Amino acid sequence: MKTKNSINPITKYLTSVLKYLTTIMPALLWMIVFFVIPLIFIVVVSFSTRGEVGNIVYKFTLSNYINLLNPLYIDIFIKSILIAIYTTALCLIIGYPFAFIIATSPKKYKPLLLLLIILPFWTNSLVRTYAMIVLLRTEGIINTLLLHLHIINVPLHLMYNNTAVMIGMLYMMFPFMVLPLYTSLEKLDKRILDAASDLGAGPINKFLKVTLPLTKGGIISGCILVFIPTLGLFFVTDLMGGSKVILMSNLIKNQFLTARDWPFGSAISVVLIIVMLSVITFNSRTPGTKGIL
Amino acid sequence: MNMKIKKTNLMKFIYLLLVFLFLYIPIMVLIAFSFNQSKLNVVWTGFTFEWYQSLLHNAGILDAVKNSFIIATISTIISVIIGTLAAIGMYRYKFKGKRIVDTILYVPLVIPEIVMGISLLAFFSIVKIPLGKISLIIAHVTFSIAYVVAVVKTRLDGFDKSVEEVAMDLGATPLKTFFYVTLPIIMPGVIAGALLAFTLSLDDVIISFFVAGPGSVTLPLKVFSMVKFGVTPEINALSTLIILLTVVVLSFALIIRNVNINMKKIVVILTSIFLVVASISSGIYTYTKNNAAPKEVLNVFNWSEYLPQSVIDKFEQTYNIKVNYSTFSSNEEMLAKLMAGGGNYDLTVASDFMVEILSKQGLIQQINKDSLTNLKNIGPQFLNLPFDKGNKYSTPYMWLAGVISYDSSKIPEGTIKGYKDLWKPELKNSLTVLDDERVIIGMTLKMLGYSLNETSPEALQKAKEALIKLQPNIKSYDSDSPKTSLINGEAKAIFAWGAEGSLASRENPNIKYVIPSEGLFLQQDNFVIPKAAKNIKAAELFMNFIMDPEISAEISQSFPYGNPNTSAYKYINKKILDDKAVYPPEKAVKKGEYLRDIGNSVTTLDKIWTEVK
Repeated sequence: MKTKNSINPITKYLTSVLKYLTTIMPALLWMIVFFVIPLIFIVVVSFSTRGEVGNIVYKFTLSNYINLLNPLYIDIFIKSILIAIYTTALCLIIGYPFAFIIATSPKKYKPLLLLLIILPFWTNSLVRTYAMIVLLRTEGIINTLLLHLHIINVPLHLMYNNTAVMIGMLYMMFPFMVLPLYTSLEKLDKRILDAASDLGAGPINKFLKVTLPLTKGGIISGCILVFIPTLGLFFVTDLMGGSKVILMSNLIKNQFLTARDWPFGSAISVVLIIVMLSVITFNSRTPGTKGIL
Repeated sequence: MNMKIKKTNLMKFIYLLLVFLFLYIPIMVLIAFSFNQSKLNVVWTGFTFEWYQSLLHNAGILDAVKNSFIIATISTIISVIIGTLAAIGMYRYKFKGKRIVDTILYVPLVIPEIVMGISLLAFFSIVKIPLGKISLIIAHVTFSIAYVVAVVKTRLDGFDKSVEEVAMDLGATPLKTFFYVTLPIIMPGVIAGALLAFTLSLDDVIISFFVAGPGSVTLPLKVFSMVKFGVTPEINALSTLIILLTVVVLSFALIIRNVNINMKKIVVILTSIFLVVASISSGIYTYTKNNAAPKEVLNVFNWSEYLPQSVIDKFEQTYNIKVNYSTFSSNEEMLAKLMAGGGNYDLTVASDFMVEILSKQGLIQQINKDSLTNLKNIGPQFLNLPFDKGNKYSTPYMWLAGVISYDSSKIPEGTIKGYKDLWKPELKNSLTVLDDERVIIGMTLKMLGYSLNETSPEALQKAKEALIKLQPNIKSYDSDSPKTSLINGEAKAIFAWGAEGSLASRENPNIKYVIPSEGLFLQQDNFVIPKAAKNIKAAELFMNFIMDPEISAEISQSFPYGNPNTSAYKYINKKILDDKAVYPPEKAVKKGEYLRDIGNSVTTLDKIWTEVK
């Protein structure tokens, strides 16, 4: 009896460590080997100097970071964040009711609807964007249709402006918002909603006080999955917006490609990573969302 | 009450319909264009099945499809297993350093793709993991894990642990509990994560570009490398087939299961779609490539749609060497890949200034001219150019000139004679120009009377001021396909490579071109041999083969680019040689200039470009 007691906590401890190891370890090891270690290279480069022919000279300097304080770059940063915020908001507003309807539809249709959301995204994004341009251009399908129906008299300018960028971004990022939302809405217990109705809550109250808080996890996940990749997406702004503004992603790309200033490009990336991570960490500290991100 | 439910149901249905229309209308357009006669995805010219036929014979595309589906399927399976386990662990256990683990799992979402691509490539080349399917799968798993974890965690949030405890109390082993209790509950999250991972893998370009090796081209890489010379409707045809196949398999499954599929079955359906696509494409592929055992291999790195397949086939037959053709979409991407230590290419194509940069960085080697007997066929004006004196490193392939093309139905003839006319106020919001800082700043410098490689601060300051004044006239910047906006009527004039103007005038006879009076902007693309090349002998054979007059003429018959091979002219259709956008008058070419490497000044140019835009 005595021995059993003394062994028990140890085995218990060991099994819990074992479980923890089998669940977390594969991901952790994978990320350390294929992500963290390669990233060290970028951090080292960010403190180096650009050589005359665009090579990397490993001479320590802080100038790449100091260079970033230029108002020119801060402007670009703010502009990029704003576009990402608009895109995220648009995806959320359109995606939430959509995910809600799918999550509450009869069980037999759910997988089908889910697959229908993702199917358009299995075609090449460049070809898809070309198709959008065919639709949106001044002499394009939408304008021709509206003119024929006498809804408008003058063709709308839908291409190469902010409208085009927003439509393109929404189209690119939509599934990244809908899928997490669907996942969290799908497990929403209808009985809780019924209980709220029984207790006299109106539809608006029910939504604001019950549905919304219960799906907060999905909303936050979806927003992060849309917001952050939007910062790195340059070809929508390039193709649909006419590449007239330089965003964070263009700036970084230019440093690695055209300007061949890898040290500066690395410094921008390091700063971007740190800023974004603090946003995520801040989110996960907000009460009520613990364990989501 | 009943009426009310009906009404809300109708509203729900309309909402779903509208969103699905938004998602599917572009797809319908894309499908329609797969039957379009024109090679450009811009305007409808007539119905044809041609692209489906040529798709079936395009071994390059079919090979890329096969690679893409294999890589997407394997990386999805791996990332879903690893990611789901991690999400469960993170949700269930408290441990020291949890916050750090959490952070590590999310950084891939935050990191710019190009940074991840370059850092992974550098890592692979240091630890000597060969570039190919394995390196691609590793990279795709790395970025997919974060998405899987994020979605599965959303599902776990509020998960009732007591259900598991009950199962355990009833005697289920932990493994059994996991498979029969936990997994079914979190399955919607797992499926959603898998769908995201698969989609991401299938469409990734930037990271894949860096970690792909010779002969492991994926579909998005193939498509983006077509950009410089035009994405063909074969890609639309392919997308149509993939959608059709998915829909067929899906309806088949629905009929069998009598519209009663559940989450588990969807996994089976998805897997079967992948397998069917993979096996069909590999079947077609092996059918089209019924070659004997592989022989010697030559790894070529080039733009897509820049060298006809027929020429490659002829080379393979003549020398019994297999050509592994990999593609890139810009000079700079190619350089970045070689700089990060990537790829064992035996031969690559680089524009003038890039030859200079590659040689200065020691990334290419000198060629042995004794074996290049066909070099004599190249016109003397294309040899011994400032970027490579004495042709120590490079042999000319094709050349291009920057011309102004305009729609004569919108701009009267004679309005534009040179670069300076692009600043005219009547061209407000009607120009599309190349999205390239060297080209556009260079063009402005030439307009101001300087060399396009000028770097003095005064000249650059003047150029910057001029460029700021040009902004109101610019409708869009586009390096990929500037002709598109001219053909579809968005722009009235474009400044781009002659081939763009030539292709545009084939779609719309109103399109005319102007050779800028200030002097031409020239670019010459050349074959070079990278330092890391393994099969130098085959590379030289290929270089020489391409310069054979008849072979060279065959290339010119397929693509509208200036051919430096003057001995080939007698085999080229006269109509092609008379195209002034492709072969500007000799006098203008003599006045023309090539880009040079300008050292550290390029960072100044980049800053000007950032300020101007």
